[in-house]
Amino acid sequence: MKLHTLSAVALVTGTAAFAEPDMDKVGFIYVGPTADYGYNMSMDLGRADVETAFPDVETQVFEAIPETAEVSRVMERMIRSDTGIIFATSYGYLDYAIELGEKYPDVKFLHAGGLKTSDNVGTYWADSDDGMYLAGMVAGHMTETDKLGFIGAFQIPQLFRSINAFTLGAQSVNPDVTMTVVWTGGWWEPQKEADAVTAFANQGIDVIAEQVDSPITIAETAQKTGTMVVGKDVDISDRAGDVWLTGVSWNWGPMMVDQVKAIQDGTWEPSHVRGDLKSGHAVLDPFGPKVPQDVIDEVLAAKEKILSGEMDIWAGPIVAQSGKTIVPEGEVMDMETIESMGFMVDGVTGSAS
Amino acid sequence: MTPTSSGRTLPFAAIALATAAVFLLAAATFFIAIGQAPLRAMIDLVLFATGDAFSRVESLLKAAPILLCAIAAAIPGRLGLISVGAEGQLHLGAIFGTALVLAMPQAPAIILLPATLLAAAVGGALWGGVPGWLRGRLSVNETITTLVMNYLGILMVNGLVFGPWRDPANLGWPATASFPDAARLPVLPGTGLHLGLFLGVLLALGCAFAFSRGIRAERVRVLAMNRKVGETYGLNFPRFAVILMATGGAAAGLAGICEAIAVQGRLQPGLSLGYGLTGFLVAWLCGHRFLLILPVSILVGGLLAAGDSLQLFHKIPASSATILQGLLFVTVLAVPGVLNRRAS
Repeated sequence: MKLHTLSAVALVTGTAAFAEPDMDKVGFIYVGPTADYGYNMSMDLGRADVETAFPDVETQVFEAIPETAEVSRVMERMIRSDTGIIFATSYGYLDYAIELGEKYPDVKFLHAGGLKTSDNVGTYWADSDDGMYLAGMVAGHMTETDKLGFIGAFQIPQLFRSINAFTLGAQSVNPDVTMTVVWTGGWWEPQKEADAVTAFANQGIDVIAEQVDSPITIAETAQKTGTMVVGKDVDISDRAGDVWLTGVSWNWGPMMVDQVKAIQDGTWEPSHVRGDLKSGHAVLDPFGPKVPQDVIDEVLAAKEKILSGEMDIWAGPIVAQSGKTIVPEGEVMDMETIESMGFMVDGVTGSAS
Repeated sequence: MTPTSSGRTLPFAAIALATAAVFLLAAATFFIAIGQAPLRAMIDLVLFATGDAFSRVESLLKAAPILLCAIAAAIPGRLGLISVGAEGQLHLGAIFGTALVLAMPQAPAIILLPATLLAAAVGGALWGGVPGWLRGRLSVNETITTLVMNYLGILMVNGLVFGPWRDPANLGWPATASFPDAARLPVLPGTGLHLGLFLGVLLALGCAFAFSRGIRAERVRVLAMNRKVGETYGLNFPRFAVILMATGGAAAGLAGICEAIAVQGRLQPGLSLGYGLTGFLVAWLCGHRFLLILPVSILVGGLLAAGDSLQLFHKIPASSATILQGLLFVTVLAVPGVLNRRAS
């Protein structure tokens, strides 16, 4: 029996190939297509910046890789063709990156938005919260029915942050607003997203924000129902017609370039690299034609206060749906609570679990 | 192209060769159309399927669920039934197996592993047996019922991992907790090749034997050719339908739990990358011949695994691998039909 096992191992093992990580080979793995006008496109725009910044760097791409053991397989493929740096750009890739990182200690992994690191896995992220708060202010001004809607993919901390920041922003200018949240259970569910827009419109909801893979389906459907939209991830203001209010998009390029440079220089340490509105990695998109100048002025004034540090969007009082006070007046939410957020604020209808 | 088709047909080998030739031509045309050198792209495909140890293991890992799902379609296929339900049966197998693991995570491997596999087989058998019973007793079209039950099976997995089975430690991410080591399938050391592949090979060989000799094999053949004639001789068609559909379902159920415990290490959405449908097409490509299903599954598994090279080296979108697979199946379905029509 033992002999059989050994010969079988020899059969499939053959000549063992050893990976030699080349830091000029940078791999990118996306959960959807790069032409999605959304999250994956935002990451791929960053990849293009990396190629421009480093003439010697060659990038490789895997699109549409599910957040299952499948990602482990394609990462190993990249490593075996000597890729030295891997950007694992989707939330569900983290555990697989950490596991594979133990097997290939010389390869560097950069995960988007993860809350764990290891010896060779660091994370990078840009917080959209400030931008979502400002977009919420626009929504709070523009709604006539005082009803807002949000279409989200998964009940994970990143989305709770967006929903809460957006709602708090809207409430700051219009205390009467309510927010209804629906979950699609997937990053890319165009049919469910379109249905949700129609259902929202029928309930009298007149502003819709979202955090799914791409705002494109929601914006297209909203043009038919005449519902105003707030975008995310990629600026699609030129494709959303007059229902566009504003949005929060990403500029990953500079952050990715810094990371690759640090790795090549040998100064890189695995950590949680974070950007935000202030650092320019998250961007408030252009305002739509319907937004009046006085609203724009007010929002831009608030933006200046956030950038100068005068204002913190996570300052108390912040009360959860349940009525429980999360942050009392005069205090500010700490980073850990923000990053592992699992509640929705008062005024939101929808299930947080 | 099933063993049950009557009239003049071309030899199977000739059809298979012609189909392969048409596919290669179609694939080459596709590569030229998207501006790739066809020969280079195809050589890379072959290298990525078989070039080194890692590639061979990946190909075999992909082949395992396809093989089991092909068996799931081929067993009822022998009775002339068209079951497209392997995908749903795979998911039910994963559910039943996972339920057992979650119920007794502390149990030692010697008990947990066989019990988990058995539970998965029962789950798959249930999902195959019900359409078999509906077909046998009530003459409900099994293709439609198995198709619909596929969606049901996938949605049930989603319902469980988004709901009661979601591990709170995942911070909202839909998946069960990681399975304990005792529930992990034995693997060939250093390769990741798991027991599922060997189960598939054993099943294929066993089926080849069982369906080629003996009175039972003869009865299935008679019933497949003409149900009325068979029933005149006292053969119970409904019983055969249930048993064969359930047996096929059990094979697909094993594929599901093997993916969950050996590949993913937990139950989560996206368990199957269309293995059920791929297996169905493999079974039909092979005319439900089990000894042929074995190598063809490995071939198709290789093609799926090698699709990576298209993205990695040729920088063409992921969808091109799907298009290639589509081309393969269209040629497999179309070419034999056209050839046989012209021959007769």
